[in-house]
Amino acid sequence: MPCYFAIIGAKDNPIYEAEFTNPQLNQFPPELKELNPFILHASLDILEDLQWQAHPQSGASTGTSGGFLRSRSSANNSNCYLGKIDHFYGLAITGYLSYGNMKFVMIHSGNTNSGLPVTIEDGPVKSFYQEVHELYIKTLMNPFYKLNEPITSPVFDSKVRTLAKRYLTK
Amino acid sequence: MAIQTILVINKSGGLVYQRDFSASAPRLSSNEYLVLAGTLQGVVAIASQITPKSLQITRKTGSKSGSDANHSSQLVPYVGALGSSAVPAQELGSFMGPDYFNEAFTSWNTTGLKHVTTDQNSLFLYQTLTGVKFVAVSSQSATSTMAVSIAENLLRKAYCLYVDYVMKNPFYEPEMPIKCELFDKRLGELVAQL
Amino acid sequence: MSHKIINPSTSVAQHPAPQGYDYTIGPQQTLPDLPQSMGPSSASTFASTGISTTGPSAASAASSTNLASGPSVYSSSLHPLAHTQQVSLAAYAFLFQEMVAQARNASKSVAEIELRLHRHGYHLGVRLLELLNFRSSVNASSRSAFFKTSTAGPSSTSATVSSSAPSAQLHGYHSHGSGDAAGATAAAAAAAAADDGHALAHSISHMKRRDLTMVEILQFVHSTVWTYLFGRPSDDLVKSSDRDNEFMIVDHAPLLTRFISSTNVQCDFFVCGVVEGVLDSACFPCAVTVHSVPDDKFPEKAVFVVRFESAVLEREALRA
Repeated sequence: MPCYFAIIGAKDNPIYEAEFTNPQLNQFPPELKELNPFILHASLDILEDLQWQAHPQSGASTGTSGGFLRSRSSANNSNCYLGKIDHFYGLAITGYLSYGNMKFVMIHSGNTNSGLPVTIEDGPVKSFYQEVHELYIKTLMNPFYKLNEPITSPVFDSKVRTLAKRYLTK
Repeated sequence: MAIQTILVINKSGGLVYQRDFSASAPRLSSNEYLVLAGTLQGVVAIASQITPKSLQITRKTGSKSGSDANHSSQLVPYVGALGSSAVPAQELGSFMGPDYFNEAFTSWNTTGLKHVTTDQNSLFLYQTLTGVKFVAVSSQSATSTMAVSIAENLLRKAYCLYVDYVMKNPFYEPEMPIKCELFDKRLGELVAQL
Repeated sequence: MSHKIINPSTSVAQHPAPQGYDYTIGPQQTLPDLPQSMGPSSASTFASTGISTTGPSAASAASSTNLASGPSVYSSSLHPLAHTQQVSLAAYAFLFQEMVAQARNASKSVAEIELRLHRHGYHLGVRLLELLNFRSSVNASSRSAFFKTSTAGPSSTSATVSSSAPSAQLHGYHSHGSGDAAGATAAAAAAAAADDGHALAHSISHMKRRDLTMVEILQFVHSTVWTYLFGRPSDDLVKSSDRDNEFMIVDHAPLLTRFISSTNVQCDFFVCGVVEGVLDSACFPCAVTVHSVPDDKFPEKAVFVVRFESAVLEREALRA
């Protein structure tokens, strides 16, 4: 399934974007492709709300932030991976926050345009986010990289794509 | 052995540090101390000229060619902690406790002038590889080799303090007079331990 | 790069190979043409071509799987034991001395020197927040898993700083707790496996929680950051009784300035910068200042005063 992944910096600026598509089978339709950044940025409000909740994944906060946000509840104590945070006409949006509050967000699209909601498998998606997080920290270790600047390294890019291939394509 | 004064002379013969430790120390004006430093520098230079070349060569090449007598003359024995070791280990700066060093060390003084003794006073000289000279003036007329090696140990410790608290101070200009509170304080503690 | 025209993403022909993200082009839509099984061995072929090379040559090199391998940030491990644990105090002191001297030469006033030191520290703090939290996520069980899967091989990333120099040992920039003998042997194994970049995050089951309250994040600074930088936690963490937004981190003998006689310049502003960098990037905007408060027992005692902005207090009141 095609995915659109972005790392959003502290000033809500994208510092990295990528689309993971399979050229033969699945691509974002052109009209949707242009919309991807907008859909993604629209979910940032929800992400920033979850950012300061003690148990963003527990479902206890559904009363305040809207029950439709929660696709499931878990007793997981972790607050880096936020799970599915939003949806938009059958697209699901997942989020992850790094310790420096860099926002890792991704749009998951279904295989068809039938409008059925996408099911997110938390395990692989979480692993994907964690490994990208590690790559991001390695980028940060570069003294020539400044915080909130676009990550232009081809190595980073190819590593992220390799991870996407491993975790996100079925 | 009562240390009266410690001087530090830089490599060009300028007096960069002078401190009296006892009230009985002769009151010399700062100008006279500068003259003393310059004189010592000159004497050291002359002494290095009149020291036999053969002696200098054996000292430079070290123990390989030197005889046992020569070997022992260039090694200064370690004389212990010099009084009570009141200084806690973490106060030793970048040196590992319990003391700044704990073995015999090679003397870098190849000029021949190690100490000057009069009836009243004795003056000891420790030279570093970079040409900085540490001078101690004692109120005793000491000529024994033991006294000389104690003085060398003391001055080497002063050198260790100089390395830590003067050279690692970003506000110290090399070759200029030393005005570092911490160096003053630590040196005072070192001498007070004697 | 700023002179490029920003094109809509559809107007760009599809690139056959990843060339690195270019924000003037937007997202590129490919998956790499690589075998599905990216084991540790094939991951090491990604040891890289240098981070900021975006020229055509680097891009073409990246298109093939046989990248020219060289040291890069992506090929070295983030594992706490992958780097030498300790740095000699003398090296630390001389480096800091040179940093202060450089700031001093470039500045006209005392405030400017302090600002420069502060700025140096800030960049360090921003990085330490991510790195140290990530490292604490690596727990003991995943450590052993890391070493079991590690492949022995020649490593270019093993650090060469001798820790046996005749000087006091402290934990330097690339260090973390546990300097025991087991750690030393483990460090060698970790260094050997350092180019296996993927093993680390993969073995983490639970990431450490992000710190959400002022007290949590200050405890992180007090213990983790201090231990990493100075080899011990700070001596005290106090809340001001007068103001709600004020906290104090007390250090009885600041390590960085222990050789620096007191002057009108506060060299500890570097540490202030580190603390502020950590807190700022964790979304706790604040101002950190340092005051030397000598007392009889600790003549070099320094107090780092952290003043959070009112927004932080309001947020905490809302979420409480």
